[in-house]
Amino acid sequence: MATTIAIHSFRGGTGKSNTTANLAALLALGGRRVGVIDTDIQSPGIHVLFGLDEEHTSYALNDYLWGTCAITQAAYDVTARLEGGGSGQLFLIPSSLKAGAIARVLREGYDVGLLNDGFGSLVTDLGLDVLLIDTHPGLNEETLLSIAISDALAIILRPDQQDYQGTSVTVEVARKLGVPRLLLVVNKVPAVFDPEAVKARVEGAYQCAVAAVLPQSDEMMALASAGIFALHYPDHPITTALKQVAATLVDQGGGPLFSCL
Amino acid sequence: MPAHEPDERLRLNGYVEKVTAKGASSRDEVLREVAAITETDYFRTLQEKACRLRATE
Repeated sequence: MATTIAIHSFRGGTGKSNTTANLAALLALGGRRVGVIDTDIQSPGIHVLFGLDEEHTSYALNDYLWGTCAITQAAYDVTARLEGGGSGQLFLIPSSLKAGAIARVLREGYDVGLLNDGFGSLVTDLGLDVLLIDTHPGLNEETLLSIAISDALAIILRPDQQDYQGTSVTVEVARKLGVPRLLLVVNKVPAVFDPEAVKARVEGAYQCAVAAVLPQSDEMMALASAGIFALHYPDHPITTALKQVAATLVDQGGGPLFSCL
Repeated sequence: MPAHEPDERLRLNGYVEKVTAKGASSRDEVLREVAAITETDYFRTLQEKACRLRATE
C-alpha cells in the first residue's frame, strides 16, 4: 500500500520544498517508486531543485486541474537526477511557472476535489510506493485536503516566533483530522543554538515528536537550490538526519499517532 | 556545535524557551483560529472523508 506524505509549513521560507525534494530523492535512492507533487500552485518552486524547466514540460498540475490533460501526463520521470544511484524511480508533477497560469489560479481557483482524484490516480497509474505532497504554506482548502488524506504529515518550522503560532494551529487541525503520523522538523537552526535544547522545548510546547533539528547550513545556502543537497553532500549531518526523517515517515510499523508524545 | 560560555548557553536556551512559551500565552488565540477552521462544513466533510479513508486501510 502506498504511503501519502504531506510536507507543510505555516509560513513560507522554511525550506519546505528543499526538504521535500531531499526526502523524495533519499526514498527513491532507497529503492522506492516515489512521486512528488507541487501543490504550491501560487508560488511553485520544487521543479528548480530537480532541474526541470519550462522548456521540457508540456503539461503541469494546472493543466490537469483545468481538465486539459490526465494527471499522469503532467508527471515527469526525474530519476536521472539521482545520478545513477539506487534502484527506485522518481516522478515530479510540477505546477506551472507561467505567469498567466498562476494568475488564473489566483483569479479562478480550482476544484479541490479534482486534486484528491489526482493523488489517487498518480499512486495507481504510476505504481507509487510513496507520494509526497509539497503544499502551499498556510491553511486553505487545498492544504487541509492534503493533510486530511495523508498517512503522515511533516511540519517544517524555524525557531522563529513568527512560525510558532501558525504551527500550533496546524498541529491542532492535523490532530482533529486524525493524521496517523505527525512530526515536526525544525529547520534553519542557528549554529549557536543547542539542538537538543531546541528539540526538547519544541516537543514540550507542541506535544509532538521532533524528527530532526536541522542547522542553518552554508553548504545548503551555497547550493542555492541548484540541486539536491543529499546528492551533493551524502555524508553531511543534514543528509543523515533527513534519512532518519524519511525512514520515520514511511515506517509502516509505527501504528497510529505513534509520533505524538 | 561550537562550545559556548555558560551564560551564553543560558541566554540562548532562554530565547528558545521564550519562543516556545509563546504558545502558552496565546493558547486562546490558537484555539480561536483552530475553531474558525474546524467549525466549517468543508472541514467536517474532510473529517468524515479522512475517517472513512482510515477505516478502509
